[in-house]
Amino acid sequence: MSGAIIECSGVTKLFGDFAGLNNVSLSVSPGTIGLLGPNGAGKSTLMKCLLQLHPISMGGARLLGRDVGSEGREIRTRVGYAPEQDCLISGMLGCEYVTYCAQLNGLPFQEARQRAHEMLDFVGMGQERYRAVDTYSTGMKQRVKLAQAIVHDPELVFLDEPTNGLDPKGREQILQLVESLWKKHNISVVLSSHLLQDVDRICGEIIIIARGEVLVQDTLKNLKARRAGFAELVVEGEHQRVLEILRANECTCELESNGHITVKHGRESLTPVLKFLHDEGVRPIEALPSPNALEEVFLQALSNHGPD
Amino acid sequence: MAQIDSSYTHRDGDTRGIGYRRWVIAQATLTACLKLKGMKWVVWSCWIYAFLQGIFLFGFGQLMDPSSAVYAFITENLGFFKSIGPMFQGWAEENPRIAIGMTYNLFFYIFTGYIVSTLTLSLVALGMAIPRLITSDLSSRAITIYSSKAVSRLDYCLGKFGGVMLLLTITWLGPMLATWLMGNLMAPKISFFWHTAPALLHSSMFVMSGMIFLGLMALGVSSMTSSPRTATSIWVGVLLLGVVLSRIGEGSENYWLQYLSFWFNLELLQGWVFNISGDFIELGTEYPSFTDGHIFDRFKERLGIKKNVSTPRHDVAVAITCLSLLGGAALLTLYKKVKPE
Amino acid sequence: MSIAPVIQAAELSRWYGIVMGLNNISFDIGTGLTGLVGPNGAGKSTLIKIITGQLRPSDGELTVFGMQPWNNPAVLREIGFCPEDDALPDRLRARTWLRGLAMLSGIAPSAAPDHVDAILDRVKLERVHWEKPLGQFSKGMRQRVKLAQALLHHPRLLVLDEPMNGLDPMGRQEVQRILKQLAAEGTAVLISSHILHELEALCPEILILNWGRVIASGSQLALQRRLQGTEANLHIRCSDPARFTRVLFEADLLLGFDCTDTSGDDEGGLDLRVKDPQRFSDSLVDLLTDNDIALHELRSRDRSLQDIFEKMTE
Repeated sequence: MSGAIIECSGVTKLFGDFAGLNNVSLSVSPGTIGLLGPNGAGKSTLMKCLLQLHPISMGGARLLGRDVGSEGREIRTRVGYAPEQDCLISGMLGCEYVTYCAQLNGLPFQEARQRAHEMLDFVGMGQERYRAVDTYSTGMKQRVKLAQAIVHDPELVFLDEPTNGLDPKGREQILQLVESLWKKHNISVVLSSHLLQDVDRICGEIIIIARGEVLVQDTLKNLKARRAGFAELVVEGEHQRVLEILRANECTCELESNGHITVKHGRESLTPVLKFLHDEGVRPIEALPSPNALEEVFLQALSNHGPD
Repeated sequence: MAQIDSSYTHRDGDTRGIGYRRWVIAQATLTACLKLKGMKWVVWSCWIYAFLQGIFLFGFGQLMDPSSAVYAFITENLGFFKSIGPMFQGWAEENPRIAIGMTYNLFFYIFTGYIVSTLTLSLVALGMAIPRLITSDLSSRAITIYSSKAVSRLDYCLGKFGGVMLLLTITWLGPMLATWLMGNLMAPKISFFWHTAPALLHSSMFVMSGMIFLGLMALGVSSMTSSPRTATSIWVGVLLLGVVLSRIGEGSENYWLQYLSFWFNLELLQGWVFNISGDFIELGTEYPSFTDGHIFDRFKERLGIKKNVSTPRHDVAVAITCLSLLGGAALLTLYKKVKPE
Repeated sequence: MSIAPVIQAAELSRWYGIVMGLNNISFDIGTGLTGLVGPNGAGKSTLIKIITGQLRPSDGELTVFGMQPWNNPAVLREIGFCPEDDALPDRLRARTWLRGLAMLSGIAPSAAPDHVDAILDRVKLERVHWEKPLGQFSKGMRQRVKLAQALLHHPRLLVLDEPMNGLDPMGRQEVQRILKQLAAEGTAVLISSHILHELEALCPEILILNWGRVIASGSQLALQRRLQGTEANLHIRCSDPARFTRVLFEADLLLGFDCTDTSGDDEGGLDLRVKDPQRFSDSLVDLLTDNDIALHELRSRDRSLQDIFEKMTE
């Protein structure tokens, strides 16, 4: 598939006087897209506007090449959505719920039932699927939400904070699943999260939104390239000596509170850095390029934008 | 990790049309309602009630047939029937349209909308179902999920409306049809079908218009709040208010208050559709001696038929307008309230 | 400087009928920042409730500053607690609510307003929101109010359950800064969180629970050492991965490898299992320079809290 999956031109969403989205123009190609922004920046609003959960006040948007305003229903047969909040239908069993969601997207009952169970397998739900959704834990809810978003085999899924409230193992599993959606199954993913690390890990493209405006849209690679020449070193002990060695080799460096050393070395690769450290008898345990690139870009974008 | 089964497959089947999706919502709504505690009892009661009515109609049919065992048994054991039994039969032979048709019409007038009837049971069923219709979707934010699927708000409402219609079919329309069918299948003559067709037509017209109205009201009430208890309270309140308004308005100068009560309006509508008064007028002209008695007047009073005149057209028009306005208000509530978040 | 531990548990158990909450655990927690980690149902909430005096141990003993917290206002006065669920009164204004709480915790009514304002400033709740009802607050703002509420009486021990849940990246940074500052001032801080990489950067001490037992406690460094074995798992990105693996193999350092990110258009990533980590780190630079390989990333797969956690809860 080629062409943009999301196109916005001047999308504005007003809630009374407050602009939830302010003249947003975007063009996004298939892939995994990370949506970042402070609380209340308009991430969820953008997703909801694209799905026609909120009517767009001004401007136009196209999803998968179709106009959101006039063909909302047709578009949604090819799009999945897992909202941030709970949205289960009480009184239903897990598998009933997913089957029902599939049917709502037009799958005949037999196929809906089959796919519902396949998707529940896919998200790693076991016998819990035969329990009422009202009794589910956060982890199960997140899984069911993911299952219902992909049960009709969409081309694009919107996931709003899919790892919120999960324990480390659960988060890891959900992240792996989400990652595989694009990498293995060619389903584009738009993911919103507060955890930059999650986005860093999964997403190929980053969109940063604040106060209803798009501040940054770029690939993660390009964003990281902005921080090329920076590295984070992990050494055991001898921090001061390492700092001195680095400074002696024309590097700017800083000791972080967690004992790691951030260094601006300005070289093409880390080999020369390791070389001169090695010559002084220092063997870093880890050497990570462009550390916290996403965080830096994020904070920078927001500070450039200025305070309220 | 081993426990993740990444057996994701793409599908290449067709997707069904929007009609199917609406039907799915209706089905799911009905299923959710039937799952409610006590709902099964209400539904069973409706059908038992229908069965009893059928038995009653069977008894009536037997009275029209001199060769039946029931007739023989009754005339032998009940002295009263010894004298009037043959009269009935002669009457049925002579003027079946009045003897059978009108009696059925009266019966179904009572069956479909009297105090102890499937209408009352349907109102109870609706009261129980209301928290499950839209209220629970509002509180659990399931509306967001519906809206993110390939259904619009209109489709959602249509589906829910379909669900209510299904429920009312089970509790009201279905039993009514079953009663009619039972009464006629067990009747002594096949001609009963023909003679009782007007009664069926009247019942169906009234029940179906009542269903549409009650369905809208139930959806409206259900969408007003996200708290199940409040929704039920509002429904009970609306019912009680109806009773109170029609009582206050009755016979007073503020008679117009009655029109605010949907009970009153439904009664008017029913009276007009079944045209019981008309039946009585016709009966009075054909058999004046029969309708003159004191007992008969009491009977009519009990049925709420005061004058020997048909329900005036303009009264019915006002009633229908009021019902439509109430239904419109329900629709407006739906439109305002059924929104994601 | 060796001082008495702030929280001390000895053979502590808590049962709910037949359901296990905590099973015979013993540990010490000192001042500074301690991270409490565990899967759902590991007993973290039970432990927090016992520490904050909301539950009584079934067996064994837990002391905070040398005293048992259950039914003991003297200890509870020293503890600030920021719960996970946000049970805030929706109709009250932030300032009003906190002033009331301040007075409840024994601050003079005349001093309460200034005190509350100082704390609200400290948790960086913007001033425009101070007079708004809590019901209108966003999740991040509510978290701040919850934190402020826990700090009102200047506790010596601060217990936080998922304090950063729902906060955006800046909010997270700010809360972390506040917590670090508190720890530097001598407050003991216990943080329960699922976001391991944040705890890793924040908390030098870690307590890992699983199935009602303590499976590890101590400094991160000690935990890392405990996991160090005769082999190491590494992730490497370099200019010529095929050659690099060959070189490593010839040097008899390689136990196994896996190519990742082969789809990428530039240098691919390598997951390596290396034997004799010491010799590997000694000879790494020579191998790189001799073979003219540009190293872009050297990441250990054994050291992060996530790695440790996964290994220990396996």
